[in-house]
Amino acid sequence: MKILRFVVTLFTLTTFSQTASADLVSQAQYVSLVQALTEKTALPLHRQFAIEAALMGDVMKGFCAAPTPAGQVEVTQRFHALMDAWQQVEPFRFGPVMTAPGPARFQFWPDKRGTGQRQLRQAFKDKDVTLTEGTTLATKSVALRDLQALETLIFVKPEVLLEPGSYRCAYASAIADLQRTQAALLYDTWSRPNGFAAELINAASSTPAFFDEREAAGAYVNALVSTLEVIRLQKLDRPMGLTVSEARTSRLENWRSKRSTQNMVLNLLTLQRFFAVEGGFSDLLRRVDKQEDATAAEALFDKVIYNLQAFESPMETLVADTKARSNLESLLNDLRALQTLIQEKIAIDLGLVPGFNATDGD
Amino acid sequence: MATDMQVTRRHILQTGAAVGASAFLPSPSLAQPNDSRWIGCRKLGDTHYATQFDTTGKIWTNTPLPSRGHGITVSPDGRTALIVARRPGTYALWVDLESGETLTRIESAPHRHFYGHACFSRDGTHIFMTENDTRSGAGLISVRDTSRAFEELDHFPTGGIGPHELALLPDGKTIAIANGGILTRPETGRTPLNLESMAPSLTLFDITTGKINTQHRLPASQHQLSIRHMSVHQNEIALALQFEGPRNIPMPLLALFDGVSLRLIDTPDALARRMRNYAGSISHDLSGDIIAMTCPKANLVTFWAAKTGEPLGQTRAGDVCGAAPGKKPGEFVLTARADILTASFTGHHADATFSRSQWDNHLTRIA
Repeated sequence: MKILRFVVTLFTLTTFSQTASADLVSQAQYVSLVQALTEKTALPLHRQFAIEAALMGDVMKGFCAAPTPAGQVEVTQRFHALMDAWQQVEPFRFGPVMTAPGPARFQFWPDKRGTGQRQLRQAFKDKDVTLTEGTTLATKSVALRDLQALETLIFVKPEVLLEPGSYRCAYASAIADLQRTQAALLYDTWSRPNGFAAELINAASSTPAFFDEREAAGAYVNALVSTLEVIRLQKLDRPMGLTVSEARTSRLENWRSKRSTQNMVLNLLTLQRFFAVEGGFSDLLRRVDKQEDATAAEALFDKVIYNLQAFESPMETLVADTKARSNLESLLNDLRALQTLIQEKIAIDLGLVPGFNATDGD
Repeated sequence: MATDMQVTRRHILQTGAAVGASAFLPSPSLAQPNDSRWIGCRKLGDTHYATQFDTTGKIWTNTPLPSRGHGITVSPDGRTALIVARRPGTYALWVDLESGETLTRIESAPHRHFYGHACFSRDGTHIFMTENDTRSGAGLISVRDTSRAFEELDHFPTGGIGPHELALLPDGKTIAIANGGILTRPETGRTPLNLESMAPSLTLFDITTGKINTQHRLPASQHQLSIRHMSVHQNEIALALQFEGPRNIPMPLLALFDGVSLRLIDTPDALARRMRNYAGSISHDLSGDIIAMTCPKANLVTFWAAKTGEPLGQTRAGDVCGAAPGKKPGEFVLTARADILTASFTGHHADATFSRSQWDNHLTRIA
């Protein structure tokens, strides 16, 4: 199976030519691209995340004050709405979300060493009250205060949440409150006057965050490539294992709430918007006479999103299902083809090749 | 701590430091004058390798790695190398340079991770590695016995946060350690957690006592210049820096240590802007007179006079980062994307391309 994936990889890579691009894109075109992506994707999606986090906080608080089965259904729905919003924001792995302690304060995943569950088990055992207070919770390990911890509290032993005055409910409410504060600050840091959105859009004048407009545009290319790699390797390939017998459902991102497929779809929808919005990557590619690349990317986005949504069973079932394996392998190949197209063709076309050695300090 | 333990520790360390280098000269099979080789990490598809090559593009060994590798240090006898995982990695591989086979896989201790670099003692009996204590965030230098499967004998504080590259100085008993100053934790990956308070330093650590001899810092106003990589020639250390402050403030990135004091090299503003506040690797040439410093964010290699810090020239290469001495004085071998380059301050040419590969941060000359 491993050999098969490698062979397909080689084929995919060699189907794209490596022609280096001249300076096809003007400074003004980079600025327009960054402005379109920032105003039409980053800002509205971060705003939506902040709104959902606030709603989650309110609903969780109300539920814990008077827990009812109907209220619990609403809590579950709100959690999914919050995760929907987060998964659409997740591809923006640059700027304010990287401020200490980084994206893990929203979602500590993948947790390859099981740190989060180990810390949560200890917290449940100790009934640590400092986790139920926002001010003290904020100082704890990110694994104790992120959306993964909230998922565990809501979806594992859900009946406990219905017990009046339950520790778990108070703890979940504190996490929801903290997420509300963090999401609001994240949006504010993007949207305030001279905030991060302005730094992106004004990068041509050199800003504290970007040397120039090309680096700002490159941040979106890096987001495309790194998100596709995370989807492919972390969200899909790793849980699948090399064979069905090596599949591990618990390696899926949100197996407890059975929304791992939805997460991938929402990540991809954000990336698809980078191409589809007016003034986005597709428009720019067509302006510089690279319409075939725009068309190829659009077709691959359509295909992988359609195929993910067409699965009739949740990914939590599919990864260990022999009959689904070939479809999942095809999906991996399509995701790789899309990543390769962007990384090795479109980025070169636009003069925005992501620097392997230039991504962060070392 | 018990006196016996101190004595034992010191004895172990002194043994490693005192053995002469003569018995461990590079083996003839790997040190022919026209047989120069280099080793660096590269990514091919989704797999990472440590690849030993020559400038004709011939691959001599190709060792698969569990994940992205970083620094590679060659043993004094030239027969083996230690490949350290990229931070915050927890593995290091000791490999045979004849066969490329992994001889030993080393794992960091619980609650610790490696910082990407290591150096051998002069006699090759000990290895020193920079590490992070993930509970305290304190930087450590660990001492391992190469004859006993790299068993850790002891560890010592480096006197700072985020130690990165380290190098044994010619006296055979002092190790220079670049304390980068940036705090990270495993649970938050590579996100810097202390940019406002970071305090990088160059530490001179005495392996015979396990103590810090001296520490050298840049002025407090430059505390966001992370000291991360170094190249040693005789008693001079050239340091490559990375500025963690605002992008629109250009900063010098080269510092020189002459054995007494640490000096940030004045850099013309236009050149500083071109370097984009980020140096990835640094190397002396064979003569020790010239320094090459790569700036991958800027697709730029800069060359400097080693004594004075005078800028000598620049050449552009996409995503260039790995740098090591070339075949002749004045020349360097560099890695850039899939390419192997030979460069001097007058320009560069490509020697070979490793198709579909992406060379990683560092390059080490073997012989």
